[in-house]
Amino acid sequence: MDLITILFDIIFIIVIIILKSYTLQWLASKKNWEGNLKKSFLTNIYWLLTMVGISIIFIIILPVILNELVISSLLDDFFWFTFINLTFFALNFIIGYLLISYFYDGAHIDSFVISLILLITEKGCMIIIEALIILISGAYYGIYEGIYIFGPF
Amino acid sequence: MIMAITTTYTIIGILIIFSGIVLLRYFAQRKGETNSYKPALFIYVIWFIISFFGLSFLYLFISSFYFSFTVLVRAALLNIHTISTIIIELFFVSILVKSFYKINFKDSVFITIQVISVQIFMRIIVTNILAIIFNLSTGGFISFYVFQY
Repeated sequence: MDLITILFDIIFIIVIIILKSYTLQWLASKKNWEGNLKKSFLTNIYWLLTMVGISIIFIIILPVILNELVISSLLDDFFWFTFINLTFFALNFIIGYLLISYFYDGAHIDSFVISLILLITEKGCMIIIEALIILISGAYYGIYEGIYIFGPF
Repeated sequence: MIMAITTTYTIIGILIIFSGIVLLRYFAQRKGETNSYKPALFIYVIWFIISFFGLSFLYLFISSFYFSFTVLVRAALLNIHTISTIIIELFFVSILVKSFYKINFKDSVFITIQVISVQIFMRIIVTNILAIIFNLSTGGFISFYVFQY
């Protein structure tokens, strides 16, 4: 994980937080929920910090689990790689749903859908930025792997 | 085995497209629009025709040029291709929702975003489960969709 990747991660996270905050603010206004930009920023920052915490827990626990399963590298075992990515994705979605329900006090189904929209917007932006970096520089910097250890999820 | 999984994925993909009918009617109803399935049915049949007979051939043609590039560039182009499909779907379906439900464009975009998000969520789950099944039964791995991993 070199300096350029860390720099990209930081810039990327700032861009994503801003984008998600404005998106959440627009979605909340469409649902006639009480809120402002500050609330949506707060929601997204809490979301990010929680996911960083979960990533750190994964980083600590995963080597122990992999040792037990006698797997040398997660990338070599498709099943566990996909399963852990899916788990991470599900946790990301659930944390978002809980935070949006808590901060906006909206209906469960609305919080569910808005959390999905924000998560997919984030992943979509990440994929586009990574693709553009590959096309422009020809190199893969593994954006997001520094913060969330698993790439697309 | 790979043919069976790919066929299953194609069938599920078509079912997910048509699940848009139920989702669209549900989200439109929540917005205070009509309870009827008719507008949603028309919208998704039109969208299916556009995507199956129009977009898929266009993308087949475009992706035939990808083979001259490196694996990394090919993966990047495929990702851009997928995201552009979603944006095109958002645009076309929003216009159809605006026409059939006679609402303003911003509201139609909002309804469409909700429908597409749920569809993508279903695709992610289905894609990964099929990939896991394939991996457990044959030991290989299969990639359907960029949101897989």
